[in-house]
Amino acid sequence: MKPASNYHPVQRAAPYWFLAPYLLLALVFFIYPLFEATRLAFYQTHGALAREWVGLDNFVFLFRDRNFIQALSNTAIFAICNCALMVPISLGLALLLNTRNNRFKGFFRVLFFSPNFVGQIFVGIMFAVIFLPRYGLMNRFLQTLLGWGLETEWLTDPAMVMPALILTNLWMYVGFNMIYFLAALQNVDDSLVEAARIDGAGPWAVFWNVTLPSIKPVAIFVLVVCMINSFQFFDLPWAMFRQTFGPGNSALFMVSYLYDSAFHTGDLGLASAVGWVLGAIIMLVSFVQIKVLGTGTEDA
Amino acid sequence: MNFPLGRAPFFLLLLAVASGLGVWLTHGHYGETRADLILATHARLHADIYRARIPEFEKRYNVKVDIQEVEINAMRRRLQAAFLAGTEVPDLVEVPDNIANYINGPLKDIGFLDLTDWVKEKKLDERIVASRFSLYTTRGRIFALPHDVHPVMLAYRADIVEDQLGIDVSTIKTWDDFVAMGRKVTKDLDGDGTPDRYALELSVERRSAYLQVLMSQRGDSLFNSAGEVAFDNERMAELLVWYVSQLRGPNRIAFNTGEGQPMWRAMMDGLVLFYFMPDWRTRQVEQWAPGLEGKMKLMPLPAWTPGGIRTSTWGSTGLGLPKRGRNPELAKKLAEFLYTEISDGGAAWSGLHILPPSRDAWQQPEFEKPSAMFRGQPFMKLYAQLAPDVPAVPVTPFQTKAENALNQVFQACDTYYRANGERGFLEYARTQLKIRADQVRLYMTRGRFLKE
Repeated sequence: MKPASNYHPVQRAAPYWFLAPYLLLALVFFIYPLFEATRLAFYQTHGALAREWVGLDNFVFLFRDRNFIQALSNTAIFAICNCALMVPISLGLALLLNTRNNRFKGFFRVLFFSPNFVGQIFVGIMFAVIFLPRYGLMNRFLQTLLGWGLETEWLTDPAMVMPALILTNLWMYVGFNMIYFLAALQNVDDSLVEAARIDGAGPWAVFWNVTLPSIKPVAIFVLVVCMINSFQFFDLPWAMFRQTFGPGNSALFMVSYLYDSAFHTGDLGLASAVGWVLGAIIMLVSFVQIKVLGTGTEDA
Repeated sequence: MNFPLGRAPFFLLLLAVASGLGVWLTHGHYGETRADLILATHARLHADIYRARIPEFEKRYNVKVDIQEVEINAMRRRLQAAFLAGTEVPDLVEVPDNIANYINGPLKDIGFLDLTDWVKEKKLDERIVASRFSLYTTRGRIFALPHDVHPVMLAYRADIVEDQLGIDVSTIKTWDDFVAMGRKVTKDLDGDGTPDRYALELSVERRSAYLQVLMSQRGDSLFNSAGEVAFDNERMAELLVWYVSQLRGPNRIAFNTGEGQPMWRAMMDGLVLFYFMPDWRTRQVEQWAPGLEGKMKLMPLPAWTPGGIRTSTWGSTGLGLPKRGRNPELAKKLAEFLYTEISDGGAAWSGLHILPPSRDAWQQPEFEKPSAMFRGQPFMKLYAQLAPDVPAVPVTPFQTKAENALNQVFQACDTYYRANGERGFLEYARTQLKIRADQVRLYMTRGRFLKE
């Protein structure tokens, strides 16, 4: 092998040429916007036409604004409830589909995954109709099944908005997360399961002591990603409530607040401040999750 | 073929070069063939009518005009973004609603041309219903020409109200009269504990629009003429109490039908008898509930006090001329031509079911024609009779914030009423109005670019 110094200068520069496209793109679309967003967070702007230095006023304003506090609270509630349901339901479905002699495994896998074939906007519009009182499918279904619920106002009663959004989001993404779990379950070492059974372990003990530790890295990945996505929740409520924040701002989320500040009010400075607060929360939550749960690969 | 990085990158490169060339060539072509004026509108019906009339204008001034349709939400966002970022804009734009979203900055930065002097010079402020300019005015300057008046009436199922129930609607002169009638007709017909017939359609989803219709009729508005928040007062609290108790109370007379298809279904089923009906909605009735032909009629809104105003307004469109348009003088001529000159006996406006803003146009023969849907009533004439009374709606850059605040107040009141009923309701409404009005005032402290 030749020593590096014997390479021709053009050859020595090769790695940098390979890296250049990525670095250039990152500089234009990541580093510069990051720098600009940091700077903008200390200005109040009128689009790109006017800006004025306001120091920390944007951040102070955010925490004086009831709407922002509500957006923060709605986002946190959604994230917690959504992930608390998403992870176990996805795992449960994956466990059901992971049985050995399931002839319909492929069919159900496609069925549960199929909501991902359509976008959030379509799903939002569709569920806005499904949740209508009296004429909506959901209420008709409830009325037929339980003899109650024909007049339930899913989208106009603030108390019902969050359940409606969580149900819709679960319908859309449970199948997607199920695929991760299914892949992880199929990689669980059969010999470990067999050994546990020979030692007299029941199904619950096998799941708890063998299966779950084996799929822990995937479970943590799904949880962290679910939490990050939940904090960035925007398209679905925006479509479902026709570009409004829902009754009593019950469908106002942090990204909706950011969008409204930037593109409705034209205040890119305030929107940048929201972006930084959101980024800080996501980083903090992800850090805590990983610290508490580990990455799941410590024993590997 | 011997491309150093392989065949796939070669074809990708080829594709990139070909599409780049395509875009470059097409763009150049577009620049050469661009019309002298481009008018963008969010309404297909408007566009169709303008396209029919444009040849006359083109011939008169020897120019080429292009009419472009843009989806309403795309129009709002793109136009706002174009103004804020300084990118390309059409020469004339039909602005949906009002200009609240475009006036956040100082007057010099507003993307539309100041039309005040032109409007006065052409005496358009005398020919057009004056109150309509309020939607397009900020700091005393006019930035768009109103396209419409949009008076509001009540449409009702005449076959049920008059033929079956024998109600003479001419005796309903005030909202008190209406509520008294409503309590009689709102009924559980099949005995299952849920009413099957309601007197009035009131919306929960579009509460802000409905509340503003009623507020305007009472002579109130979200902001006063000085641009200050004006909705935290006793009158507004009373209106909220009225609205919520008609919709939720033990003596409720109103039903929230939802929007679109569910509303037309409720209308056809006779679930609700009376509907708020601005002129533009009459066309939707014809389109979506054709089976009701001859079964519907129109009446003026009941007044809030005896002898009070019998109409209000809902919705609007205005024609703005972006400052960066290429030929503002020609654009003004086109605006005047399309909005004030009527050459077809009013057929186009009548087909739109929209009352034009210019008073001269209201005497058109087409407006006298009876409507099959509304049992032979000349509906355009009825709207024209009410048009002079249409109230002004002052607009500020904080309009959306105020509307959102009103939504929140409504929701809080709705929740309170469902839990507690009438007890302490008025006081609660007052408190909520004050909290949310102060919230809007907090936003207004950020209006640093509005100080001229």
